[in-house]
Amino acid sequence: MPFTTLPTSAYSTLDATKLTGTVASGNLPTIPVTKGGTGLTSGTSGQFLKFTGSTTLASGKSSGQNHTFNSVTSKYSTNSTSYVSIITPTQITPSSTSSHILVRFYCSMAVLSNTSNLGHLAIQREINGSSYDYLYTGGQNSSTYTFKADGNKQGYGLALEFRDSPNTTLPVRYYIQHKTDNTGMTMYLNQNQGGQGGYMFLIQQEELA
Amino acid sequence: MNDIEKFWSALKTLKPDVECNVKDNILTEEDFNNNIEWITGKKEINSLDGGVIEQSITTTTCPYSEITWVKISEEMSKL
Repeated sequence: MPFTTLPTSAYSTLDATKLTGTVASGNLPTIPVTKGGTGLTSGTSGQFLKFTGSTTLASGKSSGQNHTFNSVTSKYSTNSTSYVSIITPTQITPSSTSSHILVRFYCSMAVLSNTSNLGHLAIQREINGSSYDYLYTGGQNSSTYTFKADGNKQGYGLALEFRDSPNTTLPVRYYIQHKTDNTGMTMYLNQNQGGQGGYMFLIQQEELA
Repeated sequence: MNDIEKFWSALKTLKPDVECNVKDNILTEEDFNNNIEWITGKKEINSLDGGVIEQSITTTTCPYSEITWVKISEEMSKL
């Protein structure tokens, strides 16, 4: 005759090798991290498990999995004495306010100057399409990078990398902007003085804190 | 002299103090109307390093009567 409840006296002598069948999932406990489990009942497809505390796990993107990539063959030139943007990057949305964003930018460039004055680059951060700040502007003439004209009028490669901690989960993007010291100059991006160009690449990559 | 150098030379001949941001070569009236940002002013944006930085205010409509595509192309053809 089947019984629905084991008598208390049977617990200490229960032979587990005699047990068969399947236990309904509703009768199984969620095993916590402190007992070697995950403490989770579901996750997000394609993501990894990460610790969100000393005894808690959650699914999340791996470092670098959240990124944007823009490539263009457009060439730019300016004689503006105030900063002006080149390409408009795709927005990236940090998963946490503690996330860092690593930005990489590559292109060829040249500066033509009638004097010993300089061309400059700066980085402007946009948050949610409405809040703007410049970053790393402590260089010459309020710049992040400064370039002197090449006497041979040859272009050279530009590789720019920086990290920012935007402290937001709203969409962010980083504009690369250029300017010159005076209107008699011309600064060329993604091309050399001869007008030959290539690709301009901009990568924004989230690094989880 | 290549095409972009000719454009800049022609532009500075017509108006030496004009400021702009140019995308690609300016070879047609359509390029002139769409690929040039004319600097019409400056606005101040805060820097996280402290202080303020000047950013350009721009328009793609040329605000200068002395600069037209016809005049630019004429100057470029002389080079």
